[in-house]
Amino acid sequence: MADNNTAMTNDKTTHFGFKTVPVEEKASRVADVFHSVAGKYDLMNDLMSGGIHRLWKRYTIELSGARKGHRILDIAGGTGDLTANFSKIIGPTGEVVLADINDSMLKVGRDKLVDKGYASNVRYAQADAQYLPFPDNTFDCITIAFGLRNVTDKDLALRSMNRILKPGGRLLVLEFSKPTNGMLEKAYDFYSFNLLPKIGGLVANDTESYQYLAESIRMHPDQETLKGMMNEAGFVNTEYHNMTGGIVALHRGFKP
Amino acid sequence: MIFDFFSDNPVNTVKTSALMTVESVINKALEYDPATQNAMGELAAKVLAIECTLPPLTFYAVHSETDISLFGQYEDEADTTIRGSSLSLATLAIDGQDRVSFFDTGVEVRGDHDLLRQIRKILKNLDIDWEAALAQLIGDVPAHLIGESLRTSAKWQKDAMERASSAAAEFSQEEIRLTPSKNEVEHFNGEVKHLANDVDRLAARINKLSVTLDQKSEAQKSSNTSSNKKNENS
Repeated sequence: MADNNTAMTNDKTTHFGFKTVPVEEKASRVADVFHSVAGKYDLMNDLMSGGIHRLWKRYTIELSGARKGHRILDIAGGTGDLTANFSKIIGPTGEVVLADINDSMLKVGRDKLVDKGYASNVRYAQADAQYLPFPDNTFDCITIAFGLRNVTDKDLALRSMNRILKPGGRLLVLEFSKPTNGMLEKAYDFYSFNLLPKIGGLVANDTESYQYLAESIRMHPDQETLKGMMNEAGFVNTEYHNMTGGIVALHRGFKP
Repeated sequence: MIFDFFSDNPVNTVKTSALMTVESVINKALEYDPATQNAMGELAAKVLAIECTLPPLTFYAVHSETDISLFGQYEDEADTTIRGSSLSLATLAIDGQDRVSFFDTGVEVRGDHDLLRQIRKILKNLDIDWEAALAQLIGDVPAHLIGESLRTSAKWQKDAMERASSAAAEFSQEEIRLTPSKNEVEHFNGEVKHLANDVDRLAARINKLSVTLDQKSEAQKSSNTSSNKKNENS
């Protein structure tokens, strides 16, 4: 992971899984992946993680400090798992914005939330995490769950998030990370590169997207690197919590 | 390793999983009681902290318009906090009494007492349509058949209990004369009541006589005193 901890390899190219692609091409390639998997996204999450992703997200909500009347932004909110929970906590006086760059994911998320009755305090925005279309100091809390690794310029995205957070507000980044145990890492690698694409092929009829998932996880910055990036972007009191042996890490930082 | 959810505190994994399971069961049950779901609308965004002292466990119930979420952590102050042993907390949840105060329950209540009263009222009126829940799993007709057979079985059990109780009472009263019959007890109670009234009346009469005697004795004394003074003067 020598050069993997930076989002862009140079000014003109970046990573798309293990491939190197022109910067302007990554967003559309990622978009294609999520257009393809949107319909089976929830089912695949349950299958791939054995349901443990619900625990990871629950812990994210507990550390969010969300409370009545808060304004919360759920970036890369996908099918709205976090948004649904935030909607309950913040009550009728709060507001949660489900944002995703991918319109297919946003549609699936919006339909799911509306069907379940989450309407009064939920808004939707198709937005790029690098250029968030909100005024400065708007949100009490921002979450991005399993989304940051797909962002072309992560530093730019983190600075954008910092800008729209209120002073004292917090950013939570839930993302795949680096296992802390060598044995677990080997088993995890075998699972990711051998079983995961097959499950994707069988269930979502899309092997390539899940191959990309496994590769993009390996290219994502490890725990300490991401913590450093958050500090660089202006966050303070930055910390991370490893979950399931570091397969996933929850980073938290505050805007001073 | 998969259960090593938090590297520093794996116990939290179990706690979070357990809370999510309980939350899921409660919310599923609430779906089959629309009246309770409507009543929950009044509690939207209210937070109840539950601090169990034995076993030591703290969690937070965050209410929404139709269901609840259970969290192991909540950074803001809860609207209401209840603290007590699992037994006293469970007793408070199911005792069904309309309480003005909670001081004799073994549960310490801080914050908005009215929220706790509202929650207890909702629990008291809980009426889950289990047959509808079962119908979701196995279909309407089998669920209705099972529901009917359970209701018939429950009615038969209730009737059997009543018959057994009646037969035992009859045997005890009529066959072995171990206990008196209801009529005998009522007659005895009537006699006791009558005797008590007679005793009360006698006591009142004695009291009246005593007062009369006292008055006569006082009059006699004052008459003697005045005649003595007359004699002394003459």
